[in-house]
Amino acid sequence: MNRLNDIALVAQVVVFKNTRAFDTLVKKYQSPVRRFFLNQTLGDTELSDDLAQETFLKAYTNLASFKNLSSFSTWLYRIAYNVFYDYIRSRKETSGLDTWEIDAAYQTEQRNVGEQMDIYRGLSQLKEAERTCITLFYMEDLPIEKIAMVTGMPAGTVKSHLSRGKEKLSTFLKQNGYDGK
Amino acid sequence: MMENDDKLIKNFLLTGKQEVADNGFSRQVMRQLPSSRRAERLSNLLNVACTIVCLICFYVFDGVEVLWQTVKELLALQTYQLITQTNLQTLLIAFIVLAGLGVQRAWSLK
Repeated sequence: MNRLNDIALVAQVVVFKNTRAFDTLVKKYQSPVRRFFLNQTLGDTELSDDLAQETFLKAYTNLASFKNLSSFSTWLYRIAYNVFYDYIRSRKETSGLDTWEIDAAYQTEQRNVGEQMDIYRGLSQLKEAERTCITLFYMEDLPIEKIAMVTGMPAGTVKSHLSRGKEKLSTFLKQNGYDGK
Repeated sequence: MMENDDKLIKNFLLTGKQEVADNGFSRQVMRQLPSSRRAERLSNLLNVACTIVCLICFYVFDGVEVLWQTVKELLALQTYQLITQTNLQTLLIAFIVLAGLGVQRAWSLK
């Protein structure tokens, strides 16, 4: 039903240039998309919002190419993923940093906001690909096949990233006395 | 063991899963949509087209002539009213006073 609603809204936008229908889609998906970027940027709100805006603008201009082979949310996450990695690549080109150095640099200064800071501290232990897979799997409830579609990685590679990410995170949590209660 | 780790990570990450409030975000996105600029261009084009059509109609239906006739009639009516309803005596007195004031002013400037 949810998927049918999204398809109906997409059709309204593509066929009738109904911007209100697109507004409905933006309102519906702005939270998960911005949350995705907050997790990837380790809590950089400004950057996340910029990237999220770019994602929705790209979605709007390319909406006619949405072929309903996957759900609209998967398609949107794919755009978000590409937007984030384009940004990473452009930063790497200008700063000359390697991926792992960018990961460390991303550990932005955060006020102590308790658990939220811990989440980003925990996620900062992971490489970008591991972070993407872990957050999409655990926080956005995407199955491995959908994560593979979003990232363009084979399912086996997604599983490897998940496994390594889980290992690093559980070590970090145990070292910091987190017992899951 | 693996299951426990899974549960541990899931619990940890889900505590950080919060709904992000809109706070004007979607309005900002909509403002930046390319079609809004396209709609503005279409609107300007429509304005220009309508202006051209109006000018053509004005010329074709002798708008200049109609306008000129209207102005002439208005002027004639006002002149007639001025002549028939104005007290010429009062007007003459007013003219003499104004002329006197004007001469006085010109004399004081010397």
